[in-house]
Amino acid sequence: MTDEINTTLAATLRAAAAELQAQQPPPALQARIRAALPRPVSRPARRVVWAWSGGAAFATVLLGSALMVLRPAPPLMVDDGLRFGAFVRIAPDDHWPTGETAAWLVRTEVPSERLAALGLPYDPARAGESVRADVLMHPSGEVLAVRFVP
Amino acid sequence: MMSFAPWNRTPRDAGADDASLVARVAAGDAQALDLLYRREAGPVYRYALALSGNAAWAADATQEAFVALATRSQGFDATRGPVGAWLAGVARHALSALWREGRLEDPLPEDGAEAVLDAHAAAASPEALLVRQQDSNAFWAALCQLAAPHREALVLVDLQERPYAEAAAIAGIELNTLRTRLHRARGKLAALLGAAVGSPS
Repeated sequence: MTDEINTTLAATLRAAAAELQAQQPPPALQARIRAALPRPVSRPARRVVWAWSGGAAFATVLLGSALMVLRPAPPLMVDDGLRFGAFVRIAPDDHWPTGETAAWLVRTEVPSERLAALGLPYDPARAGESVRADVLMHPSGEVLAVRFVP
Repeated sequence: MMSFAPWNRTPRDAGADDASLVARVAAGDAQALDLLYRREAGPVYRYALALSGNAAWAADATQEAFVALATRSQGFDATRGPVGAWLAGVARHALSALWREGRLEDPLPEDGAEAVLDAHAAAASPEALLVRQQDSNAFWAALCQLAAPHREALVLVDLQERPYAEAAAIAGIELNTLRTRLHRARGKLAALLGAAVGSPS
């Protein structure tokens, strides 16, 4: 192969590469992929976002994670039939984040009546009241675990 | 002999680690999927487009790759290569299945060639467009005449500018085999283009 042919071929390949590089996937392809997924992926639930800015949530995660790692779990306490201090696992194992994916620890309040759904005792007479809780959330918005705080 | 070293290589966005991104996608993290799509969908689509010459099949193959990433991500091993190569490999399998089914009869139908040409249709004089179109037609027609393994090697290395190791991983071949195929592809392509130029129009 002569240098002249190589030079011509290289120039032709460059032009073809540039033409190919200009091609983009159809705009609808991303939506098609989402639709084709068996389990729709979702963005973090708005009910969490409205209450917590990204920075505040991240800071909460860091603080919460550090506390969980560095401090032994507080002893279980019983107060008005509620069990405080221990996280109750909500999501199955395969739903928990893996690798370096962080979970969000969000302080919130839940209706007392939700305790029954978690298998925890509660006083029906106080069903209308709220209970403070730490909710551990997947970045997708799924609740992974919850613990109640006094 | 002159070098065919890759040109205008765009550095990959190394900000996000492949393994953690794939894990997030597998966990249903839409933002991770969006990030991976923005980063990798273009190269995967263009690889499939250049191989098949069919925009619809290229889109289908790209879709198959990303769905596989979200549903069968355990097949991805970050130690064996970047996620882009894994996605391209899945797209390659999808195209191979179409070929086996006989649904891809023409590896570069006219629609695909026109789609490639349209990208540079603007901002050029009619004369320049004509010359460019003739050259481009000749190139894509010649590419079609290459044996599929040779065409793939040329697409991966010369058109997509992927590193040799990554190209070999996508094609599922040894590095030396890729080099051999690439050498033969370039020689055959040069001969075909030379014949096209020399032939009366």
